[in-house]
Amino acid sequence: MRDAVCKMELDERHVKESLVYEGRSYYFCSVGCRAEFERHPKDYAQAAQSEDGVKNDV
Amino acid sequence: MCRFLCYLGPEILLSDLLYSSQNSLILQSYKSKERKEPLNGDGFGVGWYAPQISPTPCVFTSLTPAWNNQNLRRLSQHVKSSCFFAHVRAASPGMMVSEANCHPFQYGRYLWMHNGTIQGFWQIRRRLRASLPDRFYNAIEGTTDSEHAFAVFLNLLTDTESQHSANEMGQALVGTIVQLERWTAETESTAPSYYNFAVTDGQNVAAIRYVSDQTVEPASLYYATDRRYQCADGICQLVDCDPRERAAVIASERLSEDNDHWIRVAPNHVLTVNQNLEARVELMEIERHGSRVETSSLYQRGRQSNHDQFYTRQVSEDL
Repeated sequence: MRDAVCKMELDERHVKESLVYEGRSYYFCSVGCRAEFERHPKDYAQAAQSEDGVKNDV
Repeated sequence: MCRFLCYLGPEILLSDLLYSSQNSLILQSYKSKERKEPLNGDGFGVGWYAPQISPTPCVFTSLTPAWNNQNLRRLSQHVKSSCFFAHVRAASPGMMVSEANCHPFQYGRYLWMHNGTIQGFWQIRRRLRASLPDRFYNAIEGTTDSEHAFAVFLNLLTDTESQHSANEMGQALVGTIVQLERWTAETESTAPSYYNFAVTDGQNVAAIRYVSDQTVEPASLYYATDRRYQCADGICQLVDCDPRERAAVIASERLSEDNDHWIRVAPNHVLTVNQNLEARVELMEIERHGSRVETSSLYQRGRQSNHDQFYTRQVSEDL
């Protein structure tokens, strides 16, 4: 899984925060990244979805 | 609070960098978009490198607002470099408006800029200065918290005469904030400190977007590292390019509206760009447990980086 803000690859040990936005779960390395997502949720959710789209196209 | 801009890449004209993008630094000097107070008119400064002449940079500062300085406009049309630092200042309350307080600050081959405020600076200033050896103490010409933070950074580098890697500069940047936080933790100040710093030696850049209270939004900071900064017909923007032509641009605000090309630096993360323009982002967290301060670092794979992911954790000595 990836941090939706800083894009860091995370394993379970490194997940410090998570939340659900529009039915989808997002994971974060820090309180700061979670707070940043909460300030700009649409931006980060869109970016995460387009990244998934790229992955699916490959 | 201020606005700043770093450029590392193929040689470009300073005027293209300062004046010719949709949201140029000159525009930000009177109409910044991501600050509540849009004016940044308490002076400005630019620094650049001409390695064929000297490893140390040239710095030009002035007390006038950047938007109406004709000397800057004339000079910038005749200066080319592969590394620029530029800053427009909005002096924090209590900080004198003087040329000595204009960023970027220079020592040897290094340039330093700050966007933010160290809360409790006047309570830690004496202690900070007492920690410095004479060469860094005597190099402080102004009165700002920013320049004092630079002296702490220089003191943490093992040798300011030698070349350091981007990673070493990034680690010294992290160490600077840890040290400042140790001191400010002992003051009565409860407001958050804002530490958006950038430092370069002309070949590598390290920058950080940091606020001491993680629930508060840090000052804005963006970067773009996999595109070329191209100017045509008086308009400059980031464009797709051959990897050999790419540049790294780090800026308080996006210079153009092509939002997909700009990455917001995550809060409390350090960004380093090395001389091959490989970028890496690292989490920096400070946790206080009683009298101990812990710093955590979690490196990630950079967009153009080949570095492997690894995890480090350091525990500092007792306060």
